Amino acid sequence: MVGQEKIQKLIADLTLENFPNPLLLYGEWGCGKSLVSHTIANKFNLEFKDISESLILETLDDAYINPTPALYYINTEIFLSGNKVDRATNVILKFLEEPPKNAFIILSCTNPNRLKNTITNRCQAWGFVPYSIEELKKFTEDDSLLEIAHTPGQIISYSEQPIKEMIDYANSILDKLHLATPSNTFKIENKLSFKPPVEKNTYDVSIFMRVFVFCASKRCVDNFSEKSASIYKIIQKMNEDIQVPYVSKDYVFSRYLMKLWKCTHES
Amino acid sequence: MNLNFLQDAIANNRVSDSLIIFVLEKETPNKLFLANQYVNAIAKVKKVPITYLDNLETTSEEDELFDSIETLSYKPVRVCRIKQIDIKNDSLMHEDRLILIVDKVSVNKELPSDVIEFFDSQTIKIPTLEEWQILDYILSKAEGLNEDTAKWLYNLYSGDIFRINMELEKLELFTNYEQGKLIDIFKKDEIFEDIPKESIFEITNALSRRDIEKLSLIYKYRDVLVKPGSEMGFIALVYKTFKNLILVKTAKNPTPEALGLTSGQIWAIRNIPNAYTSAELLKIFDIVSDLDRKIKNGEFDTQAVNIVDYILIKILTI
Repeated sequence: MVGQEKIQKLIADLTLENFPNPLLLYGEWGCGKSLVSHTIANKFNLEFKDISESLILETLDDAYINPTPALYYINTEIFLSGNKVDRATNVILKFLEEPPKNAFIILSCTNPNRLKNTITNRCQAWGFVPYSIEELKKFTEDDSLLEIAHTPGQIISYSEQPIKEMIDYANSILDKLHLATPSNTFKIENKLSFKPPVEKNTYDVSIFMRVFVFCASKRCVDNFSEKSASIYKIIQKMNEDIQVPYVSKDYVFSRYLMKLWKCTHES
Repeated sequence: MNLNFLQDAIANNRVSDSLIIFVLEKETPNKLFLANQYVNAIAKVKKVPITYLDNLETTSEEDELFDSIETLSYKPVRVCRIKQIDIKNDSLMHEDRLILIVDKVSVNKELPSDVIEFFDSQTIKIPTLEEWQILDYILSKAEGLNEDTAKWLYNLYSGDIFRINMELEKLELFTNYEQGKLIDIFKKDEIFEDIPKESIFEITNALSRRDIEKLSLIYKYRDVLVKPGSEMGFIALVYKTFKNLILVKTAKNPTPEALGLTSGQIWAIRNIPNAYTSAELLKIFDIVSDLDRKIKNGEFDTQAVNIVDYILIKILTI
């Protein structure tokens, strides 16, 4: 594991007796939460069971009758983005309130504030600190990738994406938006995929938004003006709203496109 | 030239590239529909797209700003709808693949005789569609129907070929056998009659035209047309309607290829009166496109506020 010295030390000092049950790992996606969970499971020869996708009472029943010690891993991001939040939360609470005898529980999330207090209050939390550029350079030398990706997992995931092309496209939009009609502007959507799978010759909107935010912020830094700051704020908000669970990303995107158009056409 | 001659030319792929002038005399939906059918047929036989011009001075421009595309290597059929044209010189004689749809045309009698003859020969009066022609059209589009059923459909929509065509397009998805069966079921269950004129599309159509009178008539059906649980579908429809309005009304050169809409859709939208300014359209779009996020984020309570009421009030008071 690269970096995260504090967490590495915590793992080194960990024993089955002082295991913080349950344990909450939090950090940006790709920072290594799943890796740490597997590392802990391997350290104590525990069976690793990822029950994130099957958070139902029947799964807990299996856990109660299972004599083999096991590490139960729950990635809360999976249900926080869906429409079964309440049901999943209740199952987790039952699991945490009455943990099975041989069960060691690890929860993971990007932001603990998105979980109910009744869950986080029961957990000991280990937070991942942001990776430095030097640490990330161990995974890639691509500068454009290093600007967009903040964790090793993101670097690995984005390395398969046409990041340079996306940067060029984002810059093209920022350069030419003031010349476009609203009709022209809507065509930007044609280059993006708003739902998986990503269509041929299009970009994943979630990744493109990171690139877009980066390009807008760079322009703001390199050549600050009221307009560049306004554009950056709009794009930043666009990126935030697109992350809202099960929102229609294409609606959000087109809404902010029109805001950007209006901003670039205001004197 | 008469329409039969043009029909024959299309059937035998002998349509020249010279100017064509369709004269409606009096604009009716059926005449416009017929003219549009011939425009589509000509473009299809020439295997070129259709470009709609705001006026005769408009020139085609590349519409791609953010990405490069290959330039069209072929000339599209250009269509211009104007009320009246007074031909005072021979400049239009040299236009290729241009179709004018006019209510009235007049040619200056002082022009040379060959020029007058040219314009006469390229002018086609669009006739009113007779009932038998519409019935023939119905039977040609939906071969699974019989004459009685075609007649029933004709009477249901009072010969309005646009409405009839909309229903026929739905039946096109089915085989001939299924079409006949479906119509019988619809007639028996009074599905067509239940919502013969009013449908969810009527709300969005009336909204796009700011037709308060029509909206007042449809409003009493709102709970039937937008049932609880189908609010997101209604929002999607309004969103799409106003997005298409912006697309077509703000495009310099609204072509199907440029906008991703069919030529029929573009045509229909262009014929919607400009009930909203561009600024109002953008405001409306902002409101509607944010509704989805607000509902899913819990900021908007669909139990407390009727979504149809909310959208109608917001849009009509913009």
